[in-house]
Amino acid sequence: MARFEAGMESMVDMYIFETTSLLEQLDQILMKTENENSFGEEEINEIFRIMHTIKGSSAMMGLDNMSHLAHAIEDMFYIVREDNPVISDMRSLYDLVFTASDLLKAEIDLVQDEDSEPTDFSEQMNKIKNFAAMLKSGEASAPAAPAASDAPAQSPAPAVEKPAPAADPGEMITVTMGGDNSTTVKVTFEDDCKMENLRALLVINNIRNECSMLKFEPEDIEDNSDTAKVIVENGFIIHFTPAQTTSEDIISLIGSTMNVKNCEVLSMGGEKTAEVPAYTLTTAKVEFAEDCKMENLRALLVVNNIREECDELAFVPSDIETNQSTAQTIRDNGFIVHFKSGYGDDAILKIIGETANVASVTVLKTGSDTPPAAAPTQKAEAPKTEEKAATAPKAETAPAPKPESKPAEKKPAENKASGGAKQSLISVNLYKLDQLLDMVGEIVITEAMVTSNPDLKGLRLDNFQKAARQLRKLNSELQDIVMSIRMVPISGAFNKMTRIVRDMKVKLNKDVDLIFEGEETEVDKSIIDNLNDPLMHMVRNSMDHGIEETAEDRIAAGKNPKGKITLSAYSSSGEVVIVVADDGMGMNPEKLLDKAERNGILTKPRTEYTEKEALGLIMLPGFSTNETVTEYSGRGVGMDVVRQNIEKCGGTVSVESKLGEGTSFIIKIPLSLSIVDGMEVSVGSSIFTIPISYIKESFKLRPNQILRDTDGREMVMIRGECYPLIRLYELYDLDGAETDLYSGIIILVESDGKCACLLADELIGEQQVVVKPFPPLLNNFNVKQNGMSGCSILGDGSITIILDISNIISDF
Amino acid sequence: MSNITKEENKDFGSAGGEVLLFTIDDVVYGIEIKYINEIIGIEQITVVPKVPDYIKGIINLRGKTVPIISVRKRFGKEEIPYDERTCIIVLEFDGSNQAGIIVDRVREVTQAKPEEICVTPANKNVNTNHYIKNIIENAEGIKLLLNCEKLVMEQ
Repeated sequence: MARFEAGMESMVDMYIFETTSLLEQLDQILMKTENENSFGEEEINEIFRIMHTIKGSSAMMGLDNMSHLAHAIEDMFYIVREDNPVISDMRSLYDLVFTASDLLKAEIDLVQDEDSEPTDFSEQMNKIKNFAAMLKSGEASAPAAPAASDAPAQSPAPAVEKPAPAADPGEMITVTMGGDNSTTVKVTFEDDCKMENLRALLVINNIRNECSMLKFEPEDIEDNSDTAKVIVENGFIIHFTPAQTTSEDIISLIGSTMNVKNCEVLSMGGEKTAEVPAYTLTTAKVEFAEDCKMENLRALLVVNNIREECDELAFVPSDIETNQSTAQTIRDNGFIVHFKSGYGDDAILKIIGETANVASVTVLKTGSDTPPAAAPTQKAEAPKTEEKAATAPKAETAPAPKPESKPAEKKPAENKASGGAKQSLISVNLYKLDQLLDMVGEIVITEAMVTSNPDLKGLRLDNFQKAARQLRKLNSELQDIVMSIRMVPISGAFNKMTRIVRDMKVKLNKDVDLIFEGEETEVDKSIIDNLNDPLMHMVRNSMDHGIEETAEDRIAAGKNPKGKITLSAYSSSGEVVIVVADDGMGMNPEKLLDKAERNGILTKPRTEYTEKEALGLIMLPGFSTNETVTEYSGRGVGMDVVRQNIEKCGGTVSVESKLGEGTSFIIKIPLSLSIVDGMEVSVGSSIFTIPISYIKESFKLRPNQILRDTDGREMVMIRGECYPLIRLYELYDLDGAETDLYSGIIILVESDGKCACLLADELIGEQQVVVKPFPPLLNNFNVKQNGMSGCSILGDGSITIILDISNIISDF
Repeated sequence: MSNITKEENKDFGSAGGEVLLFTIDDVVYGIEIKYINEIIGIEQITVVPKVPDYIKGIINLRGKTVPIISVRKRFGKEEIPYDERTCIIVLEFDGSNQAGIIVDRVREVTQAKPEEICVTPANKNVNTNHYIKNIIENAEGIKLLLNCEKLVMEQ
């Protein structure tokens, strides 16, 4: 069964993106605070906000298990923030949140799998709840969480008592109607917005926390998709009694939910606004500029502007949002606002005054217990206001993952800013970027088609050439920009390793520093995606095998007792080089050969293996030097995965190791996958492209340069160095090619420190080509293993085959 | 595999459908119309080394590279020089996977009625490669309906 209804797919994508980045952000905050061993208020709020967003969006996607778990964490941090308990057992707290974060990540992976069932998180939730209860009851000094699970669960933690609000319709139905006090509204949704029942659920989730009583018709919106029809026909009826806020607040909350078209008040409950003890509030009369029209909406704007800053807020007329006739009332009598704010009256009045179209603000009455000066109280009241900011307005935006709201990109510090900062980041679907890149590729080809058009041969076209040069320049700039859009700093992939190292440090009881170098190096997004797994395996390997078992071992070897793993990245000549280095034991090539001999995976006599080849053995599948299989490594799969993943994006892996000094894994990946500078050479009637980065030189052979070994294989002598000669026509069985060594052209190519000479008929010229993958049918025939990495279309419409030099050389 | 073939047979066999006819050495073959993307003349084919000889290479079809298969080679026949009637039929599978087949000449599109369609013999030593999916027999003669997936994909 599919997890989501049709039409939800686009939302699923966005949801996965958002939640994943939020969880990464959470990990980073946790790691930072763990290092500093204290929670700042800012961090707690940030965690709170993250969990709140995850809770909301998960509930909207119908992923109740995730929503509940997020809620449990949110509750725990609620206690941490409100009560500020002395947490002596930070370790358990971190473990709980880290585990929960892992569970959520794993679940997100599952969400992408159509057939998976939701995982049951109740065990983890109980642990968290128990820990929260323990914090609440002030027994924070009690040992670890498992012990705490025996603690009385009925401790007065609101977090535990309050049933997880994320959607339990049964619970709500049993709530009795609040009598006169309840307000009834009818919500209608935009035409054609589809899945009205889920939209309605979203509305309910948005206002649930604000309401002490909540009932709605139809009731089974979550489980019964037929209710969508009912809602379309009759509207969605909500009865509610506000908890702290006013009915108007809730109505505007409903109104601001995605896709809500109209929210009509059927009956207003025993005016909550009237109950607000007016004498504590400041009352102001707002008048709008004449002829500004739609005064009710202007008033709503005022209310929205000050809502976040106010602890209590009421206004007359109250139904400005839904009732257009209030515009006239406001015009006649002014718009009356009663408020109380921790920021002080002046601040609020200023905000009101600055709102568009407000002509004047008159204070009718100053609240008796609100000190007039803002400054002294601001600090004391701040947490409270922030809480409101976190619960009420966030709930409006949180469950609706819109591309514009990209919390992951914001730094906590920016959140504190007044909110006036402009968003300069947008998130774009990777598919669109791929399309853009394809399009640029087509333009590059077309440009060549136009400028080297055969019709132009032999003509003297000065102006045309000038314009063509300009076009070429612009095109190459365009191409650079498009490529740079796809470039992301590698730090994202590196940062994930902090988490792995942290976990392994605890489990393996090794003290290790993880050092980043050049994490700002940028690589193509598609490469980053392929890098995560290999990096993880290599870091695990270094942690598990590389670093010595105990600090004593390290001291004995004359090293710093604290181990060091360095992740570094830099770019060099069209390649990104990523090095994972440890300063551990290093590998013994002899030991590796012993093991390989026992496993029978040696392909040539042992004595013929160079040190580098011996080290390369660890990349083979099924090869593990560990005698025992541990949690992290030993099955001999890891390094094989590394190699495969890296090769998938056209890269190579090599190992360097010095016994007793450490091991480095060196990954080289082409900077960009799709456009290469190539030299075109002809062989018979075929045209091949050799990426320029591999070419060292090309030249005509002189008779004394050629020599043959005892088997007759040809070698070329250049400046005292000897290289094997590869006749391309022989390699590829091509007819009609130049077979005379001295008439053809020799191209010296280098890859991985190995060189070879290729014989081709002639050089055609240098051109940028757009790499296109071979059609799937050809991939069945191992073209990649035969030294061809892809094909490309040239300006004249003919096809060239791009040679994979490193593959060709490795066979010689 | 035989199960799947039977399933497909049932589908086409019971409903019939439109079939594009082409000839190689006077033998009439047919391909279900749903696989056919377009028919083009012979274009310049770029040789791809190290692939079986029935794959002639790849062509540039409006910016996409499409592998080209010689049906003659596939059927173990001698190749003949291309002339103005030689065609490439571009087939499409699974929505995006394209391949072109070179045929001597394309004839017409005809409607195969269910009663004209018969199954291939189940005997072991005829049609062993299962390239032929059905046989269509009507007043105009006998046509061999090809199994496109097998013709193109099977190694």
